[in-house]
Amino acid sequence: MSGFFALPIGLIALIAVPIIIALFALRPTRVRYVVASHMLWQEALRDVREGSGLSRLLRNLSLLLFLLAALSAALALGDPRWLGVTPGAKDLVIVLDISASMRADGASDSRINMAIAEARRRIDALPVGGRIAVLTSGRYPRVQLGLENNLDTARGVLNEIAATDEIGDPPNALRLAVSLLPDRETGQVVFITDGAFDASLMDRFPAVELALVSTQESNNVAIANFDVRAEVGRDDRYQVLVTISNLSDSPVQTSLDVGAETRVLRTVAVELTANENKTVLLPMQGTMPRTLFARLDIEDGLAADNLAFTVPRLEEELRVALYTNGNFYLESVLSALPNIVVYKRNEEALTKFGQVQDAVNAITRQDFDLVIFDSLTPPRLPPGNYFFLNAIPPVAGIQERSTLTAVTLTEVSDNPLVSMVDPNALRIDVADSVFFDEGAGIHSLLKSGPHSIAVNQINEERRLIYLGFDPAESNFPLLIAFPLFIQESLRWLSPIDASRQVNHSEPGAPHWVRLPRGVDTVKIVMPGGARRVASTTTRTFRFDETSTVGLYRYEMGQYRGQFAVMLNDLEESNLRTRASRRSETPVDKSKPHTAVTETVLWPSLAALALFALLIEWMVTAFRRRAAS
Amino acid sequence: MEQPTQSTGDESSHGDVFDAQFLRRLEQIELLARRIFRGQIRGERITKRRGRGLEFTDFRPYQTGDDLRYLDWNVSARLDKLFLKLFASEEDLSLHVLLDVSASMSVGRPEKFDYARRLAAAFAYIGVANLDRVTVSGFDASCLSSAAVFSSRRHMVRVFDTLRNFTPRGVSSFSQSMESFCAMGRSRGLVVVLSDLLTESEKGGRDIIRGLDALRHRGHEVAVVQVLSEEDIQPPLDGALELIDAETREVIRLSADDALRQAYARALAQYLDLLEHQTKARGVHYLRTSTAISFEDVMLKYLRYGAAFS
Repeated sequence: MSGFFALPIGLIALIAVPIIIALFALRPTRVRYVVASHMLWQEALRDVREGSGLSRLLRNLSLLLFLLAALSAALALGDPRWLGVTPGAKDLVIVLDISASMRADGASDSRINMAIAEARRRIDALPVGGRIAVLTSGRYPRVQLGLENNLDTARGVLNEIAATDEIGDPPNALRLAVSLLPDRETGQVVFITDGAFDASLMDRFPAVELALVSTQESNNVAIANFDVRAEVGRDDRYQVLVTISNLSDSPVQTSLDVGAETRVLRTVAVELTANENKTVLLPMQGTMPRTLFARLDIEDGLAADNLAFTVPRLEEELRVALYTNGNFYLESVLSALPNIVVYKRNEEALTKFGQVQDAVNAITRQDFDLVIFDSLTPPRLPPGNYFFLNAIPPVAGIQERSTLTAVTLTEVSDNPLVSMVDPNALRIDVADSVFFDEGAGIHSLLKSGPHSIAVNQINEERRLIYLGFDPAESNFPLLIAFPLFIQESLRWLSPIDASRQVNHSEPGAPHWVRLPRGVDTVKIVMPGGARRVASTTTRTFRFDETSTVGLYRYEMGQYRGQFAVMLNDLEESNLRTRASRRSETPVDKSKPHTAVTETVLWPSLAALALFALLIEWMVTAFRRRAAS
Repeated sequence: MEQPTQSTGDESSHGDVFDAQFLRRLEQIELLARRIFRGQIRGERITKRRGRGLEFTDFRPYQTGDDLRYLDWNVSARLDKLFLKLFASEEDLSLHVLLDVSASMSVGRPEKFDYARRLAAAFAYIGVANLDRVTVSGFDASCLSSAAVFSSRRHMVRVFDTLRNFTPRGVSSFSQSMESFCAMGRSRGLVVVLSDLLTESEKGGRDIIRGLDALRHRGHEVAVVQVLSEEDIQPPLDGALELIDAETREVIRLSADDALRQAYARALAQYLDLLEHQTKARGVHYLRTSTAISFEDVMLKYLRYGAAFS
């Protein structure tokens, strides 16, 4: 916004201002007067001077009003015009690539430092009134600064930005950047990157300016994959597989270390031709460690992909307590399922140890993961996981309704537990149907008319499945659905097993940790040694600070585990600049968009001058009246 | 540009302040004074001090060394204790007229100084007429001059000459002047101070009070006649001015307007209230007058006032 004078010669009238001041200054000299009461005059003067500022102002009000009138009139004679300009000379959205490849060296500095320097130049060149937004492009785009007039704030944001080990996702970041522009005609998106990504990605964003900070070739060798597997039938042997990629145009010789924790178990020499991928299979002796690492001993463009971790998933047994007086079909299925250990107890054992106490001990001591009651009913249930087969569960919300004979299924729930049950194939001689309260988290699985003969319940304290008939009194054991139903039921009933956590994540991707029952706090130690402690009221916890590759250890109550964050992305490990420079056909957005509105100001100034004179006249009249 | 009303203190330029008309008015005042003090003769003026006079005032128990001639045997016989009779002291009155001759007295039209000189002459004339001992002194920064003693009407010519010789000049320091007067050891009596009491001292009121206290502590009865000019009371000042202090020649530059004049009036009223309050609290006779009031009226007012206290 600015203004100008259409008739600048009119400003000559400004000479009236010094004339007025001179006339005031050159008024007749002060009259000298001899007084006896000098001290009283001093006191009066002090009293007046200490009076209100308004009083002091009023003493010179006439002069001020005359000056205001003269100034306004002079400016009015100059015919001033006010130019209104549309706000935002230019909006600039800077997208900074902070993916792993930006850690590599550029022509003069690291690529990320060169990118930040380029961003600073863009900010410095922004026209007055321009706004700036800053985004980072990693695994996910992040808005570091929304559109902001304060360029110092933007520079401060740049100081906080650093490259990560994350895999870049430029399309997502650019889509978000474009959406930040309120007016695409006056705004500009600049993607400051090393261009180490698929060149075709930029075709989708023709309006985005690509600012490449470094086109220098950088050699890199990366661990593209790292895995471990047990040998079949051998608990004392396992195999390590490492895929190594040479992402340069020259052959490479290096050595590969494989180890557990901090101890190197094997070191092998690796020789790769230009652009070669090679998988190294290493048979290992001994019990499989809980964590393994692979490390390339090489100085190359990117260090993040020279180190990889893996956390083998160890299968653990599911411990099942079975209270039964004997059930051939059920026991046969349980014995056939892998990783299940059944602790069988008869009715006498239940009676002997007390129904409630035994169940309580079973759950609280974590001796068993779940309890199956086959045609036996405990008096009541503590919190836990239960399968009731042909026995009414003693829980609020489920009551026996009636005994049905020659049952034909009319409705099968779409619950995965019973999705394999064919209602036309299943024949049941006798079944006990139940009433249930849907508000208690109970759902029907199998229905015969209005009667529910199978339900499940899930709430904070308990998971429960009720099957209201003896398999021996049906053809269910003869159907393939029976073992599948038992297997799915046991899987659904088994407590959340911390050992079955997902053990690997990409850099920057959130990692979900499933908490065991009764645990609400997770302590995580990051690769650099930093610690994080978080509490959650849900059974899962999302951890977002995974931008650095390495091994993350966590602790949830008694349970300790770890997960590995690995780059393992050849696209990111390839440090060659592949994206094309678009600056040859730049989309000129640099002209600030302005809509000029011109406002004539002389009438307002003339009115102001007249108003000042009117006020002066009123003040003088008031003073004269007061004096008289 | 200095005001033409500035007094030089030379009465020759204004004629003799003690001309024939003044003397006639002085005679009239004297006649009025006789009427007010009728029946009182020399040596009959009763003071508050007890002494060897004739008029009984009180008893007190006898103390060793008392003159046995003054024992009241009747009372002693009745009460079986010795009591002494006390009599009021009777003595001649000394009248000390102190005239402010500082430069501030030359301000105003008519000049406060001429007005004050006439008042001083009137007080002296009445005092001499009553056969009192009269001294007339002028003071500015210190009690300075002509502390002549007059006790007869034929001395009045000398009184007039003394007053004629006073010239208003210099800086006044009221308390210092009064302390100097006290140091001269004049006999105790009535001290009449004629001044505008406009001292340049920062704490003007305190300076005046300290001077009056010095007189009181010396045992004098004190009467103050404050003489102000109309210019002091309602200064006809307006616009841009340079106010020059008559005594110190200190200059204040100001623009006089209604607000400033009102502030001056407030300051003057506060100052006069202070003087009135402080003098009253000390038993000092305080009389304020303006040069616009005839000096006869002032004298009559004072004589009535003084009679009530005599």
